[in-house]
Amino acid sequence: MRTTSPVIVLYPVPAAQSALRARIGWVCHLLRIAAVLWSGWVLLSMILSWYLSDYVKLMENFGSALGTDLSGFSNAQVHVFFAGWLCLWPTSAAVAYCVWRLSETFLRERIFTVDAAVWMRRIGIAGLVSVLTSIVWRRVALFILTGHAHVPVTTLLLSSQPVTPPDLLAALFSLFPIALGHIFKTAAEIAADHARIV
Amino acid sequence: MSTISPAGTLKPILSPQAALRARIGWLCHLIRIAAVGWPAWNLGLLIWNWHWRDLAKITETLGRALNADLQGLSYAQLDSAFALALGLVAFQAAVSYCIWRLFGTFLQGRIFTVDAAIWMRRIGIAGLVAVLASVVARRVILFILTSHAHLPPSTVLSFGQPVVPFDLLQVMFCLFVIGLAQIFKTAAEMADDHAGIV
Repeated sequence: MRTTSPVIVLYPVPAAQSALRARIGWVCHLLRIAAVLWSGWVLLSMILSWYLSDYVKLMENFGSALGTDLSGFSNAQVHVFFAGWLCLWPTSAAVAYCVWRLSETFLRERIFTVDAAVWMRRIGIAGLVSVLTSIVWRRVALFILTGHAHVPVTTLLLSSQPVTPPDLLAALFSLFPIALGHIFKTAAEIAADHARIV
Repeated sequence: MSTISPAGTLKPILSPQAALRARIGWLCHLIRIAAVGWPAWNLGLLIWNWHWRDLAKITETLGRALNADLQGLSYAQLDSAFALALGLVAFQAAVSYCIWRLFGTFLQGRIFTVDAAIWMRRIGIAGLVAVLASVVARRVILFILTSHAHLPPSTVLSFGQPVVPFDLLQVMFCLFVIGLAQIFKTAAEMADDHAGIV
């Protein structure tokens, strides 16, 4: 296999680009649907949890997991918790928006272009921001929900893993498009240089 | 200059290829580490939880969540559930292996090549299989852990969401990779065709 193939690949060939567009069109549409569904589902889950949760049971389960009695909590605490959680949604929505725009770029046959590369990088950065805010939020949420119980700070900080395997997986999902964004950007630059020479 | 001149095309391209390799090298290593870390972490957690399993606490927590009396849960049931979860780690390891190989291919400077495209498609397919297996396994584990209590299947099936937003996020990532695999494959084929003409 040739390692020098990018050269030729990147030279703009409209017919081939159209053929490629036809071949990846269904994946792009599916990806857009999945992005919208995912983001909408996250929002709906947050809102439904807020309105439909049995706060007493929620706190009882939470207290049991912490090994602490959390009775005597106020509804305001739970509302602040859900409101804060809802504030994380824009980070998920940003990821979905970037995925939507990237798919749109591909559907317009702008595949090896700088804008496709930029949208890929944005997916990755938005994803990393989302993972980081979620990690921080989980700790903050612990403090909000146990504010009335005067649980020692060390107990709260050591109560569970601050970072979990799904966080690592989400970070991996974010690093992946960042790496590919670099590849596509270089590809686009080579294509532009080549077009200039020709 | 002719567009198919080997001298005119290949010479200036080798340099960006090397620059790209240098630019994404650290990212490739990071992604490989994350790819290995994710199933290893899951495996470590699984072994830890299995080793320190507390039958009484699991019975109480699960019983409270299901609103059912689960007294009589046996270690054999717990072990079966852990064994099934262990099987899921094998699917995760398969995804990780494909990611490791893909970024190994990139580190060798083989970027727009058919083998990179094949490894990408394998990541996507292995990922989709892993998500599906995980969705099914979560329900099966619930049936295993409640089998002694003779709960109505509808109670077990309606407990929690069978599919969660994180599953959809994983599906979205898999579709993204499958789409990119098609792009890389077409790019590599175009390169080979062009090389044939040259």
